Amino acid sequence: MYQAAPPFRRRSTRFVAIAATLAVGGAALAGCSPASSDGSGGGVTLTVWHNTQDPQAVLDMYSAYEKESGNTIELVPISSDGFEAAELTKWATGDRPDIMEMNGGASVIAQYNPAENFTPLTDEDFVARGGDVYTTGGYGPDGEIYTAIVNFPEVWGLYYNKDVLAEHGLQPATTQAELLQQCQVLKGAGVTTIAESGGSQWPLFAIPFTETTSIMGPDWQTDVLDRTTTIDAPDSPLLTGLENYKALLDGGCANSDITTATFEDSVASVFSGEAAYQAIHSNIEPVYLDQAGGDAALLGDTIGFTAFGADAPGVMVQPGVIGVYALPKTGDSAKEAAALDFLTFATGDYYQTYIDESGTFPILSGATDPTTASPVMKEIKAAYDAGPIGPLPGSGLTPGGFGDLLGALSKLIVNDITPQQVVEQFQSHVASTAKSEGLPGW
Amino acid sequence: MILTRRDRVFAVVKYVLLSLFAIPWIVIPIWTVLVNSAKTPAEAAALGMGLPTQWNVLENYGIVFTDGDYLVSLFNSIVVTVPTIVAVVLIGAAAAWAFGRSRGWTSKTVFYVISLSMLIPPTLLPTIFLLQTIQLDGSLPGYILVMIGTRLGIVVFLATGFVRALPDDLEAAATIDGANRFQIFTRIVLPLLMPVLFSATVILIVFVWSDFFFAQFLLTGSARQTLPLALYNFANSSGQTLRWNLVFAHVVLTALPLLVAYVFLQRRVMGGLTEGALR
Amino acid sequence: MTHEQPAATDPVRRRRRRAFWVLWFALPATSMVGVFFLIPQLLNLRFAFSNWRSTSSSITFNGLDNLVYLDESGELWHGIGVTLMYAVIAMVVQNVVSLLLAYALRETTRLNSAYRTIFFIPVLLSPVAAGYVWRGLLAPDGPINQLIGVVVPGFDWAWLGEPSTALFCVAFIDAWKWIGLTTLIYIAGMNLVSPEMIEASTLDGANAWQRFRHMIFPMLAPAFTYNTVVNLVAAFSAYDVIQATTAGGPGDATRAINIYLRLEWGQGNFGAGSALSLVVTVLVIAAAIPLIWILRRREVAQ
Repeated sequence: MYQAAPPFRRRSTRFVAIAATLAVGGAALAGCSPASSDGSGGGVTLTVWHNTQDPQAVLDMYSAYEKESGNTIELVPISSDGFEAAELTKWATGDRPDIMEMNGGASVIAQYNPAENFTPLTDEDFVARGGDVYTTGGYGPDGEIYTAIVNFPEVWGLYYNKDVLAEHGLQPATTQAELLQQCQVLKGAGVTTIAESGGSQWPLFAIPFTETTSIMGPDWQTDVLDRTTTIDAPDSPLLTGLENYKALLDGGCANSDITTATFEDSVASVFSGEAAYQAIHSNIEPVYLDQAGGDAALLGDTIGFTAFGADAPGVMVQPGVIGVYALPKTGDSAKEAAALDFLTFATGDYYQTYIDESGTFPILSGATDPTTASPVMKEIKAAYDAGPIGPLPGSGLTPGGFGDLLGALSKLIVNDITPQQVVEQFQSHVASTAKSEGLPGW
Repeated sequence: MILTRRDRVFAVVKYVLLSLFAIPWIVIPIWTVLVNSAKTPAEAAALGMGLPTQWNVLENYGIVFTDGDYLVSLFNSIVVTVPTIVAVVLIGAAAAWAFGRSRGWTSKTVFYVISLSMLIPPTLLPTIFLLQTIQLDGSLPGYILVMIGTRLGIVVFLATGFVRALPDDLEAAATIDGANRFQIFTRIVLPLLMPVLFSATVILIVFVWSDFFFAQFLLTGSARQTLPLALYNFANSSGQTLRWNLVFAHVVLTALPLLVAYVFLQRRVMGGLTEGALR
Repeated sequence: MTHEQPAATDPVRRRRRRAFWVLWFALPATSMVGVFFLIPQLLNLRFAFSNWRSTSSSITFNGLDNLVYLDESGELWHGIGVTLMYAVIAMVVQNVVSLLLAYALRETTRLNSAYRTIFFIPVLLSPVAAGYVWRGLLAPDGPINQLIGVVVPGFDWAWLGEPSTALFCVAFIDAWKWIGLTTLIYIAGMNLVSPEMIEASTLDGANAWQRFRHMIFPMLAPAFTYNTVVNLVAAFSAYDVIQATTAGGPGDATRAINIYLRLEWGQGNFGAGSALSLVVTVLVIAAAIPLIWILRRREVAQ
C-alpha cells in the first residue's frame, strides 16, 4: 500500500461518505415534496393564483367552495408587493391557472391578450348584476367582459379630519378651488392640507387623476385611442389635472416629508390632526380603523370621506386587486366548468355570507348591506351611489396604460419634470405601445 | 512577545474604537430588529429603539410559526441547501482537480467558461423554459439543479487555483503504488482541498440560503417556499400595511439557523481560510 | 512490494490516460454548468432580439429594435449609470471598511473571534431582510436620525427619500451586508504573512503604516482580486436591496438596470427585458475580464 494515511485523511473519507448520503437523502426528500391532494371527494383540482394580501373572508370563501362542491382549491401565492408584475411574469412562463385573481383595470387585462386567453364572461348573470362598475374596468380591448368583479371596488376620494376642519370653520372641500382656498387658511395655522405619500409612490396619482376623471368624460380615452385627440393636447383633461396638482404642491399645501412618507404615515398624520386631508381609496379604510384602535365610533367621530373633483365632485373608481377573477382558457373543459361554477357559487349562494364576513358593501344587486360597516365606510358607499363615477385615467388605453406613471409622478413632486413633459411622455408611450400592438391608425 | 504599556494602551484604544464603530454598525440595527419583534403592531409601526411597553413576544413569534409557514419553509431551505452544497463541493472539487492538473487548451477554455459563470447573472425565463422541457419547473429538485449549475463556478474557480499550487508528488507516488484515480481523489486530493472547500462552503451557504429572486419563480405553491420567499410573502400578507413586528420576528427566525451553524463551524471556517485558501 | 513501472512511464499512454480521467472528473461539473447555466444564456439571446410581448401570440425576430427602444427611452444609459455608481460605491465602502476591520482583527484571539462574529451577523440576513431593516432605520423619524438627533437636534433628513443621498444609502446597505465576509477573507490573506517577518520588521524600526504598506498589503493581492471582482459584479446584479428600500425611487434616482428590467417585465415587454439582461451580462464580462487581468498581473508582480 502507499504510505500510511494520517488519521485525518480517513476521517475525511468518512465525512465525504456522510455528506454524500445526506445529499442523496436530501434530494430524495426534495423529490417527495408534499403531493397536492387530488380532491377529497373525487372532484377536480383547481389552481388559483391568489394575492398574499387576501383577507380571511376570501380564504374562507375558498374553503366553503371546497366543502360545497367536493372540488379542491390549490392556492398559489403571489406576493402583493409588485403583484401585477409578478403575475405577468408567471404568465410569461406559460403557466396557466384555472382561476386568477388579478387587477381589474382594463389596461392590465389587456396585457394578457384576453380575447385569446380568457373565457368571456359578458353574458353571465353576475355581470349584469354588477351594473355600472363594469364601465370602470373588467373589460378587454374588444369590449367583452373578461373578469368577474365580486368585491366592492376601490373608490377614490378625500379622507378628512373632522376636528381640524371644524376648528377652522371649514366644510369638506370638493373642488380644486375650495382646496386651494382652505390651504391658505390651514397653512397659516401650521396644519398640512394634504398628506401626500411619495414614499409609497402610487398614492401620488390620487389627486391629479381624480380631478382628471371628473372632467374627462366617458369618451376621452377612446378619442385618444382613435387619434381624435392626444394626451398632450392643450385642452387635455390630464394636463389640467396635473397642473392643478402642481398648483397645490407649489402652494405649500402638501407635507414636507412628501418624498418619504408612506401612505401609513399619511393615515397617521390625518388621524392625529397634523394634516387635514388624504386623497386615497376605500380599501385604506381598515388602516384608519386600525389607527382608531378598532373603535368604529371613534373613527366615525374623527374621520369623514368626501368625493372630489376639479370643478365639481366626482368619484374615481377602480376594480381592485381583491375580488376580481379571470378564468384563463386551459383547454380542460372539466376544470373550466368547475371554475365557472366557483364564480357562480361566490356570487350566488355564498355572496351574502362573504359580504357579512368581510364587512364590505355588495357590488352585485340582490344582497343586503353588511351591518358591520363603519361610519366612514358608509360615507364611502354614499359617495359611490351619488356618483358620477368614472374610471381611472389611462386604464382604458393600451396595455400598460400610461407607462411609467409612478416614475413620472415621483419626479413631479421634486420638480424634476413639468406637467407638460409628463403628458408628452405618456403620449409617446401610448403611441409606441399602440404601434407595437398594431392598433389601427397608429 | 512582551506587551509594553504602549501596546496595551493601543490595544485598549483599538477595542474602544471598534466597539464605538460596532454600535451604529451592528448593535443598532440588530437591537432595533430584536426589540421591535417583541412589540405590538401599533408600537412596532413607530420603529423606535425603546423597549416594548407591552411585551408581545410569544404572540409575534407564534404567528410567524403558524401563518408564516416557518417550519415548512425551514425544512425546504435545508432540503435545498444541503444537497446543493454537497453536490457543488464534490463535483466542483473533482472538476478543479481535473483542470488543475491538465494543460490542454480544452480544459483551459472550459475552466474559464465555468469560472465566468460565477460572475454572470443567470437569466430567469429561459431557465424556466428549460425546466419545463424536462418537466421539473416549479419543483424543488428543479430548483436544486439550477442552484447547482449556477453556483459551481465559485468552487471550481477557487479550488483549481489551490490544486495548481499543490505539489503532485503525493499523487504520483500513489499512482506508482497502484491506486486508481478515484482513490487518489478521495484519499489524497479531497482532504488536501478541505481548507478551500470550507471557505467556499461558507460563501455558498450564504448565497443559496438567502436566494430569493429565483425561488420566487422557480418554486410554486406555499408548500415549497424557502425561508426568504416565505418572509417576503408573509410580510406582504397583511391588509395594506407592513406589520413590522411580525416582519422582524420572521427576520430573526430566518437568520437564526445560519447563526447557529456559523457559531458551530466558526473555528473550522477561520482555520480553512487561514490555511491558505487564497493562493 | 514491487510493481511494474513501464506502463506508467510511457508518455503516449500517459497523455491518453490523462485526457481520459480529466474528462471523467470534469464531466459532471461541466454538464451541470452547461445545461443549467449556459443553455439558458443562449436561449436568452433569442428573446433579447425578439418582439416578445405579453400580448404576442408568437415570438418573432426584430433585430436591434429592443436595444434602440432602450437607448431612446434613456433607460439603458440611466440604468447603466446608476448601476455603475452603485457598484463603485459598494466596492469602495466594502474594501475600505473591511481592510480596516481585518487589520484590527487579524490575530486570532478569543476577543477578536467574538468581534469577527459580531461583524459577520449582517452577512446572515437575506438581502430582502437587510433592505427592510434599513428602510426602518433610515426613516426620517427612525433610529439613525434619532441617534444623530442627540448631537443635531431635530434631525430628520430623509436618507432614502432625497435624490442626493438615496443611491449612496442603498449602495451602502449592500456593502454593509457583505463586509463581515470580506473582512474574513482579508484576515486570511493577511495571515499569510508570517508573524516572524512582522516581528523582524518591527525590530528593524518599521512603524505600523510601513508594515502595512510594504508587507501586508502586497500579500493581500489575491484576496483583493477576489473581493473586488466578486463584489463589483454582485453589485451589477443589484436588485433585492434596492427593491426592498426604495423600489427605484425617489424619481428614478436608484433605478439600476435590474429595476428597469422588472419594470419592463411588468409592462409585458419581455423582449426588452431580455435585452436588458443581455446588457447586464455583457457589462459584467466587459468589466470583469480586464479587471481580473490587471489585478492578476499585480499579484504576479509581487
